[in-house]
Amino acid sequence: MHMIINNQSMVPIYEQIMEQIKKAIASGELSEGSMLPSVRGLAAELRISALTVKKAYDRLEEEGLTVTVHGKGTFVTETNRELVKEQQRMMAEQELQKVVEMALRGGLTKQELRDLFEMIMEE
Amino acid sequence: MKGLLIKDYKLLMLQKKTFLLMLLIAICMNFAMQDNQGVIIGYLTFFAALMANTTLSYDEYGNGITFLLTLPVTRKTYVRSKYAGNLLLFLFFWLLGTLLEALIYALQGRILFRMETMVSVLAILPVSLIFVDFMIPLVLRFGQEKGKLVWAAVGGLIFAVIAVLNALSEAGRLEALKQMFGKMAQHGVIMTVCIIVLSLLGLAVSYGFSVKVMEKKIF
Amino acid sequence: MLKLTNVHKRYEDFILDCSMELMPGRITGLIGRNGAGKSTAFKVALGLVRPDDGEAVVFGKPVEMLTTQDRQRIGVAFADAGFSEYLTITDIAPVLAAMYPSVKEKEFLEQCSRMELPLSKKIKEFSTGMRAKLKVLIALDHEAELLILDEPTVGLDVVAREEVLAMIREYMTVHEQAGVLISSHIATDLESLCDDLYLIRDGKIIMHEDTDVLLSEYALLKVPAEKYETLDKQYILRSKKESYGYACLTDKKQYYRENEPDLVMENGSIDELILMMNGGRE
Repeated sequence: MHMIINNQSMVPIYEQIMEQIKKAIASGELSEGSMLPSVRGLAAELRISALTVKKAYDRLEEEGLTVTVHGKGTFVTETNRELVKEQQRMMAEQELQKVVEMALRGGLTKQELRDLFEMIMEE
Repeated sequence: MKGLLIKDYKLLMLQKKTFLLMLLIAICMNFAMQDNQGVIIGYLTFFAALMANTTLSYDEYGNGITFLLTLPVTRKTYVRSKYAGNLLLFLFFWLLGTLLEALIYALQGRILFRMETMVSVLAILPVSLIFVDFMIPLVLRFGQEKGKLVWAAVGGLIFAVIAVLNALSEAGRLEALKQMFGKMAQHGVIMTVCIIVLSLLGLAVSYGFSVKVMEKKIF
Repeated sequence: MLKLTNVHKRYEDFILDCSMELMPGRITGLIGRNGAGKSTAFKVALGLVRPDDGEAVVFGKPVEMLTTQDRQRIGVAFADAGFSEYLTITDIAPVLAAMYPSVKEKEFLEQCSRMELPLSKKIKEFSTGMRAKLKVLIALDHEAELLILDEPTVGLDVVAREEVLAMIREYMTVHEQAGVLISSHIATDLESLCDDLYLIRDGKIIMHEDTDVLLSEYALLKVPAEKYETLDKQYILRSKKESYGYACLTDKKQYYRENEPDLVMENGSIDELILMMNGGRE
């Protein structure tokens, strides 16, 4: 799996890592039981501090998505892929909510908004 | 210590060409001079002294020693490697010189290994030792440049002392001492033992001093 | 693994006064301007310089008591000191093999070839990049647990720098419990490598922070002059007058993102941090 990190983003890097891993789990790219890259390995690949990677891995473990076996590595747990998808869906819903509110405040009509949405979806 | 000696050996090997040139000159001088005894040995010993000094100067140049002391060596080991290396160096050149001279003598139908000549040949060894005993602690303490000056001063002092002794001897002031030495010289064994003991003592003092200097030094 | 406690060393025109610690499994960086004391701190850590006060402890022992075996577990690279440059790699290989039981001459030479280092050329004929790579290779080649690298990337172009950093990163993926102490005055190098950073200025440590925190929680606020008066300054570490008003360094980016969303904010970068810590007002 290949990760892309945006150093200029306001989103902390560990969060970016988490998001990409979650996406991979949800899409099945990272199947249950598969091993995540070693902390040092990923840090070397992304050219960042190992502590940042560790933070991401620790948070993922807190959320129940991964489990770290000491001496072996970090593995994707047998969580329901649906659970992750549900998480993503909720996050998307939240963001969409914000966007819709902002657009409507800005004066767009519901139809204009729908058209805009369709246009974007086609891209 | 082995690693340090290998390093010094590799550095000395860079001087191969110079060495061969020196050797050639020494041989030529030997045939060119009338009283040619000991020329080759003397020349080679002089060269050994230069090389011995080189092993110290390479380390000083470019902060070499700063790095060397972070390797798996102790300061004592470093000092030891210098003594071991330099003494081996002198021994090697002395052997080489002696064998060469013996060869040349043989070619000329003479024998080198006789009592009279051997004394002066063997005398080179303690002299070399004295050189090492002085040079290493001086260079370690004062560095290359200052060390050379101090060394020259010490050399001058030694010569001065010899000159004074000579003058006194001529003036007949040292008869008692001379007689004692004369008697001792008769006992070749005692003389040899004395020289060996004094040499080892000198070496021990020099070594102790060098170790102290190294332990104190900061980089 | 390595700990300097209240190390105090007085020179003619400079005083070193610092404490720092390196934990196993970490890459710790020491950053500061030239002459700030980085090399001196390293020399104390290696026993080359004896401090007037304080102590340096390595592998749990005072550094003066390190044995030859202890030193076999340490790898060192200095920017301005190394093997005599009159030697070639072929000359050095047997020296290393004699000093470290884990170094095999043949393998070392193969490694050097792989890094495209000429085996029979004198080191003084190497390019700066090659010299740097060789020094780091020598430090890494004997499976050391503790690596002390003093400005390994100094004077290198960006490509060579990246190659050297890659060597270190790679080493850490294989030797996960090793500890690396690395110094530089190039912030971007350390940003992409180190887990935590010590900032040193005029012989003193003025900041110690995890790189992760520095990059995610520190920020540079660009505050217009009018706004500066009323700005909530409780999390501002340093301010510096600029043409537009004030540049302010904060370690609580989130706070200002939430409370002052209109304020122009830049991610924390080590370079900015150094500039602010060196020149800003408190």
